[in-house]
Amino acid sequence: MIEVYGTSMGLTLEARRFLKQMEQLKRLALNAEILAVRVTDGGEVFQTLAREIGRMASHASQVIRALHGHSVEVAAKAVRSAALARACEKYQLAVARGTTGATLSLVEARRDAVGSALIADIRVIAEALQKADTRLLDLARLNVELPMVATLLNIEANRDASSDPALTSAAKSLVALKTELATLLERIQAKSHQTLCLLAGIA
Amino acid sequence: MRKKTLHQAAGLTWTMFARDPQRSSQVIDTNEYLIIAPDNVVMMDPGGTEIFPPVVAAVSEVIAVDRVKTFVCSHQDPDIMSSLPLWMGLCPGARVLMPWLWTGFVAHFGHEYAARFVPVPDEGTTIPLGGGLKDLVLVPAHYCHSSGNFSLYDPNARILFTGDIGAALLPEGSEELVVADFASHVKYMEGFHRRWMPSNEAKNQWVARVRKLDVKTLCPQHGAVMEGPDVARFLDWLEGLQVGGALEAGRAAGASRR
Repeated sequence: MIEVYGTSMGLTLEARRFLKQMEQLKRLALNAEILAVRVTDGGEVFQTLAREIGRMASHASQVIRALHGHSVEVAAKAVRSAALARACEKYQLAVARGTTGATLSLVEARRDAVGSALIADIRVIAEALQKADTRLLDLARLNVELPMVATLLNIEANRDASSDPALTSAAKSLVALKTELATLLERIQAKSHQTLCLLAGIA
Repeated sequence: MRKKTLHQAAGLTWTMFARDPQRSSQVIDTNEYLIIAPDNVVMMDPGGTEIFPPVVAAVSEVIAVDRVKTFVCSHQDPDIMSSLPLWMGLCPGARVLMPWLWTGFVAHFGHEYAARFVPVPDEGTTIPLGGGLKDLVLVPAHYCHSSGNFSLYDPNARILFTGDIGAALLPEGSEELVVADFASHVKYMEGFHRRWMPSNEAKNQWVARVRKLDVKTLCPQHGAVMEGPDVARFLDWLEGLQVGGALEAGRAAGASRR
């Protein structure tokens, strides 16, 4: 459970980093879209591609925000579960060590109550991770689509390089950012999978 | 776990729990004390999480644990009270007396029970026992070794629970619950007191305070109980002891660097 907490917290940190990058991507995409208006030949294509990147960035932010939320929930429950599991173990050991009389039923009742709370927490963690798994599919799609559109945008910008250097520069910035984003997305996916595997191991 | 009745008269019983044979050698040995009185059941320093199972099992042989109304934590160390949340789960009506200094710290072991903490002011307080018995008295023992620390005096049984004062680190496997030979016992106490007690002034204030009490039995949280003439022997020994050992080491290290 402590490992689940660790990977979940790692995921939330990556997600925060990603969200920051997304804000930058959205700004760059908007800038490129505005610049494209000035281009007479082929400007509409560039504008459409830039708008598409902006849309994808917004979608990616939503997905990551949801993933961040799930990870925070998983991390909190993982810490609580570890404490509950420890308490459950100690009550069980008290029974095994020969607790007797009226105290025995007290200890057993407490052990069962703590055990039930633990099971409920593990269920919540499993549900949160299932939701996160669905989000991962979205992320995988974005991880393919976003670099593709950024590359197309770059090609389009180079075609119009002579007409507007500012547009080429904007396209270059977007392409540079896409590599960084792809790495971040891969790290987020890896952390999510790691958390899922850990929980599968516990279950 | 071994248990020993230290006092039994007029509806008042003191029981000591100690020396769990299955205790991990990584975990310091501790003594727990249960006081059963007509209107109150008091548990002194319930112990750490690691020894909770044997302590509960041993206490259950004496009393149903949900009859414990009062837990007292002499100070904040985990070996004396990290099991508190587990006990709170079994004793829904119990309150916990502890030095006011530590309530916010002890809450880190389980804040959900903090509403049942009773902060004890520096000057101490009394704990009623009922049945015409005199109240227990929490005697200030600050800076011995913790900066917020109490001993507990029972004027009925003439027992003084001293917490870490009088503690001894006995050899592994030692069965001695009551000191048989004070002179040979000193070596188990000396290192502990020199290093864990920070202030000679605080230690001597405590000795002076205890000399005014009528003490028959002295119950530390580690090691063995001292009875009869050994109580005065211990007070004399402690008064003459120089404590704050790490300060000496620090001074020596400073001198060697010059």
